[in-house]
Amino acid sequence: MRDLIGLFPYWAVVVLMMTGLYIVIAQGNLVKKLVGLGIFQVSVFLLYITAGVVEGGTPPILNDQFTSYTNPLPSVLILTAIVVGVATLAVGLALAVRIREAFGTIEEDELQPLATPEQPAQKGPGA
Amino acid sequence: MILDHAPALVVALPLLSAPLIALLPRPALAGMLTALIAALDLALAIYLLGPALDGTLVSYPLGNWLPPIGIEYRIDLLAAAMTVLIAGSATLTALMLPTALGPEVAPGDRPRLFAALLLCQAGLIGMVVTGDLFNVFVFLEISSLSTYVLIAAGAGRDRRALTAAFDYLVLGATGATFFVIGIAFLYIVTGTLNMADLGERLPGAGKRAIIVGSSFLFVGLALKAAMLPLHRWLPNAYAYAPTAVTTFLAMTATKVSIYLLIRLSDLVFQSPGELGRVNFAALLPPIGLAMLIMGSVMAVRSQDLKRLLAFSSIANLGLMLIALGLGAVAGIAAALINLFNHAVIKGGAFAVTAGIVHRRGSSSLAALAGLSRDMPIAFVLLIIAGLGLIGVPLTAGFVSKLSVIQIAAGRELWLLTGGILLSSLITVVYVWRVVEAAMLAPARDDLPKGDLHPAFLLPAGLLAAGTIALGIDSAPVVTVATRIAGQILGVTP
Repeated sequence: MRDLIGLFPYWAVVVLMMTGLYIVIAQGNLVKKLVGLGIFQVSVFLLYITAGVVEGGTPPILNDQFTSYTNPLPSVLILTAIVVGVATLAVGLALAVRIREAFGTIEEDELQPLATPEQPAQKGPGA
Repeated sequence: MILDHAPALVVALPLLSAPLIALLPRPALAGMLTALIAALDLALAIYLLGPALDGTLVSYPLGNWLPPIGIEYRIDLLAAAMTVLIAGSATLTALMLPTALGPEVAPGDRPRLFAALLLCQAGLIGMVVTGDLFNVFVFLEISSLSTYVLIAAGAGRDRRALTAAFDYLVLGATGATFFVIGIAFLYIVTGTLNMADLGERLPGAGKRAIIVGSSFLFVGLALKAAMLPLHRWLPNAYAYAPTAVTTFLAMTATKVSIYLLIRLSDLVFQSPGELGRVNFAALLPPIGLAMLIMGSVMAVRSQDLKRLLAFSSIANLGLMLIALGLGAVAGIAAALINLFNHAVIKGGAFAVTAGIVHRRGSSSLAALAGLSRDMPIAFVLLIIAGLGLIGVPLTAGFVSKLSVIQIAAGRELWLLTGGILLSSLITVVYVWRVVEAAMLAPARDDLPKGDLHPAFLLPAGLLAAGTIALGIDSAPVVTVATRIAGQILGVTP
C-alpha cells in the first residue's frame, strides 16, 4: 500500500511513458504521432524531477532555518530537456506542414503508397 | 592564451557562428564563411590532436566549475581523432555544399541550411568531447535536429525527403528519449553524470537499476546507429537528402553513435560478471552479421546509386559492430579502423555521387549511362570508392576487412569469417552493377555533358586519394586505433 501511494509519481511516469510510446507507434496521423512523442518525453521529465525530491526537503534556497534541500540538479537538467522537446516538436510540426503541402495528406496510410522508392521523383513545393 | 580554450572553442565556434550565418543576406558569402569556419574548426581539432597523440589527457572545466560537479570536456586520443574526422568531413562538405545545392534549394534559404550544417557539426563534436553524460544527450539533440532539417532540404529535388526526415525525426527523438531515460537510471543510483566519476561509482550501485539503465542506453544508441532491426530510417534519409548532406551524414552521424558505444562499452555495456550486468557486447556480432548480409543484399537490389550506397553503409556498420562485439584491444581497434576507413571510402563515394547528381540531375543507375565516356574523372573516382568498398588490396577497405577477419579467424569463428567473406562477394556484385551502368550501358545523348564541377573535385579527389593512401600505408590508422583501444580498456600496449 505504501508503494502504491508513496511511489505514485513513478506509477504515473510508467503509465505516461507507455501511453506516449504506444501513440507514437500506433497512430497513423503525423500530428498525433508528435503529440505521443511529447507525452513520452514529458514522462521522462517527471521521472527526473521525482527522483530529485528529498523527503522532508525544502526548495533548494539557502537558508539558516533549513538543512535538507531537494536536489536542484534534475530540475535544471529538465529545463534543458524541455527546450529540446519544444525544438523537436517545432521541427516536427514544420515538417508535417510541408508534408501536407507536398502530398496533400498527413495520414501515414495515405502517404505510404506516395512515398515508396518505386515512385518517380516529384518536387516538393516552395523548396 | 586563447588556444588554452581550444576544447571549448572547437564546439563553440561552429555553434555560435551558425545563427550569424543564418542571418546573412548573401548566400554566396554565407557559403564561403561556412567553409572558412569549418576549416578553422578543423585547425583547432588538429591542434587538439597534438597533445592527445603525446598521451596527455586534456580536461577542460567548463566555466571553471571543476568536475565532477561542473561539466568537463575531456580530450583523449579517441575524442581528438573523432573531432578531426567530424571537422574534416564538415569542411569537405562545406566546400561543395553551395554548388551541390544547385536548383534544389532557393538561394534565400541557403544561409539557413549552411547554419544547420554548422550546428550539426557543433553537436557531433560536442558529443565527442564532453565528459558529461547529460551533455551528450543535449549535443545529440542539437546534431539530430539539424540533421532533420538538412535531410528535409532534399525536398527541392524529391518530396519524399520530407517523409524521410519526418520518419527519422520520430525514430530519432524516441531513441534520444530512451537514451535520456537510461541516463536517469544511472544518475539515480550513482548521483553523478560525469562519465569518469560514474565509472568509479557504478561498482557499488544497485544492479537492477544499472541493468535497466544500460538497456535503455543501448536501445537508444542502437536506433541512432541504425542497428538491425532499427535501421529503417537510414536508407530513405540517405537517399533523399541533398547528396552533399548525405556525404556528411555518412561520414559522421552513425559513426558518432558507434563512438558512444565504444566510450560506454567499458562503463555499462561490457559485463564484468560481479556486477550482474547484461553483456551487450555478445549481442553485437549476430546483429552485425545480419546487417552485413541484409545490407549487401539490399544494395544489390537498389535501382538508385544513393540508396545502394546507403545499404552498403548498413553493411559496413554491421562490420564495425562485429568488431566491437568481439571485444578486447584488437576488436575495438578493428572497429575504429573500420570506422575511420569507411568514413573516407564512403565519403568519397558520396562526394562523387554529389558531383554526378549535380551534373545529371539524378542518382538513378539509369542516369549513369555513358559515365565512363562523358565524365571520366568521376568514373575513376567512383571505381576507387567501389574497390575500397569491396576491400581490394591496396585500398583502405582491405585493411579494415582484414582486421576483422583476422580476429574472427583467430578465434575460429568460422560462421562470422564466412559471413564477412560472403558479404565481400556480394559487394563485388553491387559494385559491378554500378560499373555496368556507368560503362556498358548504351550512352544516352539526352543527358547533360561535362565532367565533375571543380567544387566536387577537391573533396572527392582527396577522399579517393585517402582511400588508396590508407591502403598502401595503413600504419598510422592502425597504430592510433590500437593505442585508443588500449586507453579505453585501460591496458598499456
